[in-house]
Amino acid sequence: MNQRVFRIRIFISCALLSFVALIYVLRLFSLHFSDRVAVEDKDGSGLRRGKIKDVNGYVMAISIELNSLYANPSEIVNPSATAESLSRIINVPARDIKKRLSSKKSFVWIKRKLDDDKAAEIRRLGMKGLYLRREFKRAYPNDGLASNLVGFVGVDNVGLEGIEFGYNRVLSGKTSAFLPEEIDPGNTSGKNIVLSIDRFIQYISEKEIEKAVARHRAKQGIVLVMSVKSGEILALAKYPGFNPNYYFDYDDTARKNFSVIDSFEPGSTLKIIALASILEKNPGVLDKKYTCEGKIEIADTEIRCTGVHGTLTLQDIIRHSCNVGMIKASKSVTKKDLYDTLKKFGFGSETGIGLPGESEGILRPVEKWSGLSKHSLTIGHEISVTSIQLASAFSAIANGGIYIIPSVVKSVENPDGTLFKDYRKREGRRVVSGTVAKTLLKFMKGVVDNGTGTRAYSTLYEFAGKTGTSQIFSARGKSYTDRVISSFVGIGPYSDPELCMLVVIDDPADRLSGGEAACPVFKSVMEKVLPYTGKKKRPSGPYGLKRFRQGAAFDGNTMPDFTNMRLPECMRLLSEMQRSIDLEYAVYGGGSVRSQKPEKGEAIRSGQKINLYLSEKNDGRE
Amino acid sequence: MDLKSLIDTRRRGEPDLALMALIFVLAGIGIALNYSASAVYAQKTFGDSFYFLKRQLLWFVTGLVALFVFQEIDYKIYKKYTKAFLFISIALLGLVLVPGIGHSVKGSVRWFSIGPLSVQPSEMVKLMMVIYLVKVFSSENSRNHVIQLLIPMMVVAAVFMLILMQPDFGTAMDLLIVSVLILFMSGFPFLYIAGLFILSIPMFYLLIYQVGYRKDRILAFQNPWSDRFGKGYHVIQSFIAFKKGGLLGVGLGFGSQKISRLPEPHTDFIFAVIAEEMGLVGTICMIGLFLALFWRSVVVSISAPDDFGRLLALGLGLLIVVQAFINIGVVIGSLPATGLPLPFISYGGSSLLVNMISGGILLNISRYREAANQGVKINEEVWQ
Repeated sequence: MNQRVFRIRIFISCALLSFVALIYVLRLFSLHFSDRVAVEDKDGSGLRRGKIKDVNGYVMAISIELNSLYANPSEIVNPSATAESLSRIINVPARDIKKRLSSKKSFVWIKRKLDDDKAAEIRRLGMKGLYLRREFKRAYPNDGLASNLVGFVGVDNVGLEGIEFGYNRVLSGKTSAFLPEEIDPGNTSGKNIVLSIDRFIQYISEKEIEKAVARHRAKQGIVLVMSVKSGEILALAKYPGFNPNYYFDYDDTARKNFSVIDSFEPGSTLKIIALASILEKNPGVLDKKYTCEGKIEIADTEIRCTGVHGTLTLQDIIRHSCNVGMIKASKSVTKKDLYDTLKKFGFGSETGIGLPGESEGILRPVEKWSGLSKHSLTIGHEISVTSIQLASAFSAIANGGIYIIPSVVKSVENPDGTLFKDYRKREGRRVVSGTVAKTLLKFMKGVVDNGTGTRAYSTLYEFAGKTGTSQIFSARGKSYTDRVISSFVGIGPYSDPELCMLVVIDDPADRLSGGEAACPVFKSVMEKVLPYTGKKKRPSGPYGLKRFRQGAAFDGNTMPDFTNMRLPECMRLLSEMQRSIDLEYAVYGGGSVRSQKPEKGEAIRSGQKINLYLSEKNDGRE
Repeated sequence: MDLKSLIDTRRRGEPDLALMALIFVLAGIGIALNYSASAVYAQKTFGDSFYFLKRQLLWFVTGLVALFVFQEIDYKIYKKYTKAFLFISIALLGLVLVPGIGHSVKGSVRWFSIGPLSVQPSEMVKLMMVIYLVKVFSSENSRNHVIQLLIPMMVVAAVFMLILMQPDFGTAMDLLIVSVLILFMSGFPFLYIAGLFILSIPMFYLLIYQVGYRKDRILAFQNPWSDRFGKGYHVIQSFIAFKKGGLLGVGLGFGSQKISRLPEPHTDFIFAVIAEEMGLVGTICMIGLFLALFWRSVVVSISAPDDFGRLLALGLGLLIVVQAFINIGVVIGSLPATGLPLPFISYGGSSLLVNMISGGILLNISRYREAANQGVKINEEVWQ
């Protein structure tokens, strides 16, 4: 190596690196003085983020304002006078203020975090060189309530999730926190958003789903309550949820809004929609009977049923959620009709509820169907739906066949609380005839009264509904696992539908079905919420006598015939008997009554003990 | 090889204390910043805000031991093992690409997993490559320039491609730049270097414009605002950190950009955390520290007793400072995004360890400086 050349080259390389360093330092200065990024002062000044309220005006998210007073001493005309006036307002000795105001700096804090009144007084002073810097902190007074819907804001008060994210522009009054060129100068304050959520219903729903998820050790669960007549979401509960005040402590599973983002195979609940398609085209099928042998072979695939159901009417098919019967009944509908009906009910496309990240689910076009697809679809497979799609579709049935786009934002208010825009008026569209809707509702009532959904049976209200249990498809194993998603979608009250409610329990560890896991949640939420909405309960007194089968009513002296009754009917009859006579009873087993003690027609005395023995097998009655 | 030749204590003096101080200051700042930048992320991910700090401290102690060991080992020893280094480098890089051995993070296979530790071999490879190139270019060679240039450049190209396959564009580019700079320092005629440069242009065109995400990154770097919620998001978040930091910063630990805004605040974007928490002054000081480190390596180089030592000192200085400048360039938006750590500062065991070893070797070279040798000679005379 030539020493002279070496030294020259060392010099060149030092110069080169110094040059790069110089460019970097210049770049640092330009970043520092750039007004293109992160103008935090401007971000805070005059722009308060709007509130989020529930339907009754209870605040669910609010921005708390903190004022901090600072001064530019070079602009202060008379430091002593200014200090004097400030001293009176902020309770700081005039001496200290004056000292700061005489500083040579161009920025001095006078007092931080002043409350509103004092800030207003200082503003009234109108003195030159004094500035208030607004700092906002977003707070969620109800902690985790409706967190998945409301969402949260990040450190710079920009919405990151939920309504906070989706309606960020409305709430903040501008688009972005760090791009001043996009701030609309006409909008200076954020508007309030009023949700259709009712915090009472929301609270009940959250408590009940929390209990259910814990009881069944499920991955997660949701409750979605929808007003049938308006399409408004009254509650959107999910467990596990999160506390938006501390959103950073939670993972994505907790923060995600399952109801609109995640889709799943619905299973048997979709039978109702498939049936809508069948009934619309062939009302004649109502008189037909179908036989279920426990399995059926379609396109070289064996589809199993939950049991051997024997001869069934359409109503029985729905009651027992019979796969074979459903597939046989679907012979009378074409692929196209089925597809069109599903499309009309909103499957395969976003509902337009206006929440961020909404999924459209999966509904493949007819051309892509295999020989099995039509049959799979009638029992709720080969389709993926979101909770909001499912609830909206059933609301349409409860609403006499009129589908209303679901909504969650009721109105937008100006910062002063006056109405800016009402979003409530929603046009409906007919998706199925009134007669068919009524028939379907009746079938669904059968499910609750003595079908797969008896655990939703209530002595207070009449409900209609449909259970669903679908196996979770494993994308990794490319096959169905034995894990399930259990659901129940119900409507109440039956005679004058007001609410439609969907309960989904995702992956319960005990693998319980929709009828077993989801129904009790529906029942307990509905029984608490319906009185709150002002719905009348069932007529009290010796009610429902005529509801019992011939010979099954209690005449006051002799033992009635319990044979083939399911548990809710038994309980109803037993409590009916207890009204007129003092007796004890014990019920053994599950399913329907096989034997009873005393036998039918035997005399009953006061203090009589009644034993009922139930079992599952051979359930093909009626 | 006997131990005596390994640690030849007769002809050497004290290490360069300024250089040692610089290394300690940088590593110390690194530890503090690591905790500040990673605490929230670690708390969220592992439920332990000290998660990264503990690991980094462990690596720091290991690195410290390495520094003192390597500053005892006579640097001339490495000359004998350059072929072995070359072989190990290529073997390590080949091995990490074997499925099942290499450990993949976010689509890149850059690591070996050894128990709970993951080791990034390309860091070690860079150091070994520097030693190899220094050996080749510092030796007097009677063969003509083309041949002397061709073999090492083919080696560099092979290692470059292997690193690129991980894929790790940043490290590959870093290696290439350092290699070319060493070539330049060795006094090679300009003409050859310029020729090499022109020949490589079509290759870079293919490497960049054939790989979609690299092209995207380069386009995003030119105007991050065009896709500010997509590809430009991270750089803009980094800019915001610079703006928020102001002149003196919001104070160590008080930054907010590191909380789920900056990507990997404790590794690739740690400079943005410095910017927010220590302000404009802090960032300029950081650049100053790295320049000072390079300056000390120049001083060591000039006073080194032989060509190998001279070029090695420079090469090691460049290894550290070039990587630092690439990392900083990305964070301030002057270079397209790559995943290079900031030497001594970013979280990452392999990186810190290799930096400390480089520091150790530099310190060792400094002990043979000519002035020091004279001192030793005088001492020897006195003792006699």
